[in-house]
Amino acid sequence: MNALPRTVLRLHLDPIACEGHGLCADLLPEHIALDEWGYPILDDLLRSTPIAPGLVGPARAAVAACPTLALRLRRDPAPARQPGRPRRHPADAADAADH
Amino acid sequence: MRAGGSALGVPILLALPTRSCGLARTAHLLDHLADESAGQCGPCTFGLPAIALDLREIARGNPGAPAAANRLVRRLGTIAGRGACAHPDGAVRLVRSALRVFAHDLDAHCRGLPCAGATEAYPLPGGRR
Repeated sequence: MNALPRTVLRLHLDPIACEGHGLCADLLPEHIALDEWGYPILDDLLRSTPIAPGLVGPARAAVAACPTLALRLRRDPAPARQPGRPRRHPADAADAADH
Repeated sequence: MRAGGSALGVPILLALPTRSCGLARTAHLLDHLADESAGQCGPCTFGLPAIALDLREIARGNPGAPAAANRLVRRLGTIAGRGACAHPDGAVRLVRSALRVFAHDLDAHCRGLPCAGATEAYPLPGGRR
């Protein structure tokens, strides 16, 4: 059909395990910000948007640095090319079932 | 339900006396919701008490009310969707709805003109006031 990759790498946050140490935001500010209490806000809330190849290294570093193992890097199905309706894609259903 | 802009949840119907203040009432509800947080996720553990305080500041019509309103709106945008359960999402939805429905009151409170009923105490479950 096309040359788009069929899977993407995303960071996933376990909000219960997270204790707000904040190392991840230091290592990967491209995808992770901190709220005023020091807890990470991933750029898709509890998960990141797909990690670009050039940022996989820093993403792995962020995962490795987390003292509570709250951050995981996971290969997910690629999102459908429907910008307006991201939540309708099976990838999201699989994601929801995973929680 | 989602298509109609609603979500699965526990419905509560409160009949407000005519002179009571919707914002003060919402602040009380948020105090309760903050107390009921399971304390598992940071955005809920710290976020709900913070927005409850903002609401109380607004409800009292203190000089700090306009700043509290700005802070509240910003905080609402960072709390929802970041907990393991939907408790913080529901609390945020309640506050957003209150700010919309009581928009006129919000404006008056921010100008230092709180409702007459804003300082009334309301009973909460567990005997808190």
